[in-house]
Amino acid sequence: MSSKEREESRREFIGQIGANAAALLFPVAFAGNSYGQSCAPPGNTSNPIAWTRDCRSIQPRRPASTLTSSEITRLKAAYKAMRDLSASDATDPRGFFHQANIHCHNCGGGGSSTQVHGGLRFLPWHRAYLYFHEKILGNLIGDVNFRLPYWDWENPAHRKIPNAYYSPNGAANSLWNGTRSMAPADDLDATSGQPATALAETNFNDFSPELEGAPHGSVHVDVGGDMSTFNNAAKDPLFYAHHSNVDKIWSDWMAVDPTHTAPASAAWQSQIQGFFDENKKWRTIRNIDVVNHEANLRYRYAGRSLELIPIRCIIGWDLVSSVTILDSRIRLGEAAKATLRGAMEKRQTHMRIIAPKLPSNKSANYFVYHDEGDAKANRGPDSSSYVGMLTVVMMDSEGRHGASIPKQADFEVSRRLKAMIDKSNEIDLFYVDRSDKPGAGRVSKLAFRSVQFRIGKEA
Amino acid sequence: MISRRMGRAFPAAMLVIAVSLTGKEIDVTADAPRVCVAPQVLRLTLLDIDMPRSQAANIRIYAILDDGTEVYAGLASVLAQDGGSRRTGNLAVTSVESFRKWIAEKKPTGKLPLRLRPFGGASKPLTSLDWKVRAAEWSCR
Repeated sequence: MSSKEREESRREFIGQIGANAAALLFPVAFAGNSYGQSCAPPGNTSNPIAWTRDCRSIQPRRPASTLTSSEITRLKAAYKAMRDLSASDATDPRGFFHQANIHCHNCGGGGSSTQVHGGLRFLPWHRAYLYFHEKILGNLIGDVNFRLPYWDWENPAHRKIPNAYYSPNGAANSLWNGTRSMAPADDLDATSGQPATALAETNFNDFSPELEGAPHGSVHVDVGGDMSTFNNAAKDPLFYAHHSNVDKIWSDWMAVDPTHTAPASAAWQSQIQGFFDENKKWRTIRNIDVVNHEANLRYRYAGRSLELIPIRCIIGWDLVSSVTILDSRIRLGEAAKATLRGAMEKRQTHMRIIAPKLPSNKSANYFVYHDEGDAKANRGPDSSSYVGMLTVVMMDSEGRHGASIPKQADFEVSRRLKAMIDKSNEIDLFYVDRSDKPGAGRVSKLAFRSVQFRIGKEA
Repeated sequence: MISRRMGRAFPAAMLVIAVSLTGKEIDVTADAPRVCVAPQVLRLTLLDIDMPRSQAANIRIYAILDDGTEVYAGLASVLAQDGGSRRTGNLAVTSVESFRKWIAEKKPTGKLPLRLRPFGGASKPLTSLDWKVRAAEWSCR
């Protein structure tokens, strides 16, 4: 590679992940630039139809190693039908290789605008991808209750590739892939597929890249062959069982603690993904639509492997009382500072801003900082003075029905507390307009009614 | 000094010593990490990795003690991709809990040698991987 090409490759890498500071140094993003890619686009995507509520019954996705023989037969029949579609009509978007190409197109093959790895699209995009893939498989065998299995590789008893994907070990098995490095008797390495570090994260922006990194990526690499290559990974049916488990871990993380939530930003929630459905119609679905998979996508996960992993459990909150607010300036007494310093050692801390005053004439995201200089430089979430983001959404495009301004907002500040309380006894907050509308980039002092610091009580 | 040799300006606090070997394993020496205050996590950043695009790898990271004992610190995963020949970039690895506990207990000071060991499919050691790492540094996130 020439020095120019190398620099170009690096620029693509930086540019691709620049939208999300949390992913800046994220391992899999390292491999995710678009240099030299050539994946076909998904096909005719004109006349998109918005996804509508799915009203099938809620069915479980179950561990692949616990499927009954009849369930394995159905799974193999579904993938055989999908492979047959590819053989009979290569343009059919429901065909197996067309399905695999969707992933290729969205892993750099379609350019940086369609890249879903190394950022906060990773989890919602793959959830939606599996949902439509699963509906196509079910439709091909006439079973609306068909659900994908998951490979629960974090379970010490399930470290081998599930038997159905190897038995029989040849092309007669629609779940087989001849490129895998792992043999039927091989276990994943003890270091691979360990989600404990990700599960210990307390907010989505940290959880998502941690999960996408080693736990998800290492299983791809260990399985080897097509699975270890972005472009070809989805050509192995095992990909879908693997990603179903990644999806399950996201589901488990959300379920275990009410403070574990999806991003609240309107930009993330309204982000649209597109897929072909079981009727070959191009459907669009928003991130927010996939967050509650049980209610909206009609599947749940049987079993929860979190019992295997110690995880923080907040059972209540202690309010730090000696905080006074005058003119929207936070004043911390010595007692409050001492309490917060003590919490820094071991406890989760939230800052609650009550009744923030924000412009109500447009939909916008606002980054909040406790340092005016950082706000003016708009250093983003990596800044030690970054507090979080507030979102205002207009109720209608004409502004006739006002705007939805949060009545209060909780920010996880455990990691930023030291910079905040070491700086001064008096704290001002500043917000930066992150919209693309008039006023974009403006820095203003944030007014609010009050602020609380709350320290999590763990069981 | 690695920073001078590489023509880069790094603040003294970030300075790390790196011995980049081309080949299977790479040994890197970084300033020993400080103990991160929970809920911060201890993170290792591998700077300016250069490796083939066509190679997927799980990179296991070990701290090497004076007596040669290895302490497992964490894992970075890189998927392969078609097209092009080389790729460069930084990789961040969050250390595993057992390593964080080890750091908190031993509180190593000075330099801490690290060994980066690449593995491919089915956990086979990549003994002929042509790759480089310029340096490594620890931080709390």
